[in-house]
Amino acid sequence: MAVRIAVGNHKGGSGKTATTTLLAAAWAEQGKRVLVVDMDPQGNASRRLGSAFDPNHPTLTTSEVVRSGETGVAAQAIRPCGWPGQYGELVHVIPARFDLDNRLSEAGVVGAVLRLANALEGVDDDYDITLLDSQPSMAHLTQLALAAAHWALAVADPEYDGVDGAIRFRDFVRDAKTLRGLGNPDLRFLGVVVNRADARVGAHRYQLDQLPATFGADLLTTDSTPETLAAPELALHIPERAAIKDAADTEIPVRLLPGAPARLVADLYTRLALCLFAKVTR
Amino acid sequence: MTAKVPRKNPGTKIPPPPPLTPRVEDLNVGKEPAPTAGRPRAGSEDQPRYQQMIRGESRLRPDQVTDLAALRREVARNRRNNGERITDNTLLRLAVDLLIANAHKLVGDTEDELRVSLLDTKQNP
Ligand SMILES: Nc1ncnc2c1ncn2[C@@H]1O[C@H](COP(=O)(O)OP(=O)(O)O)[C@@H](O)[C@H]1O
Ligand SMILES: [Mg+2]
Repeated sequence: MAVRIAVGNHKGGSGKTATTTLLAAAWAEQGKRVLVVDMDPQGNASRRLGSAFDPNHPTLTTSEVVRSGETGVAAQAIRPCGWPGQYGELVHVIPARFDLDNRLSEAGVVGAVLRLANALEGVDDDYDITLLDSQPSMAHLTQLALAAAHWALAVADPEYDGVDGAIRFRDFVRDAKTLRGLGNPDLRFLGVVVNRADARVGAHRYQLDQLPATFGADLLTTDSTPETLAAPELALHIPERAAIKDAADTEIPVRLLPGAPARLVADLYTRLALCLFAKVTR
Repeated sequence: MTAKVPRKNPGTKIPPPPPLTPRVEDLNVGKEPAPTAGRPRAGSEDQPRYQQMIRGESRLRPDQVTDLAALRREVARNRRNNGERITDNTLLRLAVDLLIANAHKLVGDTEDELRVSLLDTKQNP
C-alpha cells in the first residue's frame, strides 16, 4: 500500500499545492510511483499536473468518487498526469472539479468522513506515495483527506498567519478527539515545510528565527543527514522563487524549465523528497 | 514500515464497485442541493428510496461509526445480487426495526440500563 500524505494548512497561499506538485515531480525523478488526489475544488493541483478539468470532455473527479464512497471506486478516476515522458508514466492523478464543494453539504451523514478512505481502499497499492492536496480549511473536504491518510504534512509561509495556520493544522491532527472523529487513530503529523521564505523581508526573518522554538523537531529540513534531522535550527527553507510560479503556470515539472535557478529549486525538492521518504518509511 | 490505516481488511477480495459516470453538478446554493427542480415531490412512490425517507439526526459513538462501516462493507461484500445499495443508513434502519420489535424488553432509566435490558439475554430470555 502506498504511504498516504495529506498536505494542509488552515491558511491559503502557503504553497500546499506547490509542495504537492513539486514533491510529486521529485519523487518521480527518483523512480517512485506517485498518485495525487486533488481534494481542493479549485483544482489547482490538477491543472499544474496538466490534468485540468475540460468541460467539453468531463471525466471522473474526486467529486464523483467521494459522492459514491464505495470501496475501491477511486480506481475508476485515476489517470496519468499531463506531464511529459517518465513523469507522465509515474505520476497519476485523480483530478478535482469545482463541484467537489457540493460534497460539503453531505458531511452530516453517518460515516461521510470515511468516503474517500473507502473509495481508495486497495486502489493505491501499486504506488509508493499518495499525496492528498487540500483546501485551506479544516472542514469536511480536508477531513476526508485526513481520514484516508497515514501522515499529515503542513506547509507554512514564514508570516504570522502562515505559521498560525500551520500550528492550528498540527494541533488539529494531534488531537485525540480529531482522530476518533476521523476513524483514523494512526494518523500522524509528519512535520512542517517552510515555503516562500524571503530573508530580505524583515517579518520573514523574524518568523524564520522563531520557527525552531515554535515547531521543534517537527520542522522539516531539506537535508536528510542524521545531524540536520536532529537539529531543527539547521533547517533549510524553500525560498520564494519565480521558477516555482513558472512551473505552475506552464504546467510542467520545475526541472524541465531552462536556467540555473529552476535547477536549484528542483534540487532543493529532490532533497526534501529524500528526507520525507526516509521519514515515512522509517 | 508505514503507519497502518486500520480499516483495511487483509485477505478479503473486494468485488469491483459499480461503474461511475462523470457528472458535472451545479453548485449547491442555499440549504437544499440545487438540482431539485423537476424532481417528484416528497412522499411519492416514483422517487429514489432515499427521498422517500425522512432525514433524522443521530449521534453515534466513534466505535459505532467504525464498526458500522466495517459491517456495511462486509454485508455489501457478501451479497450475491448487487442491485440494491447497502449504506450505513440501511443498517441503521434495520437496527431501529430490531429495537421496535423488541420494545417490550426495555426496562430502565438510563442508556446503560436500557441497553442491558435489551441485550442481556440471561435477564430477558
Ligand atoms: N516558494 C515559492 N516561490 C514562489 N512562488 C510560490 C512558492 N510557493 C508557492 N508559490 C506560488 O504562490 C501561489 C500560492 O501557492 P499555492 O501552492 O497555490 O498555495 P496553496 O495551495 O497553499 O493555496 C501560487 O501562485 C504558487 O505558484
Ligand atoms: Mg492549493
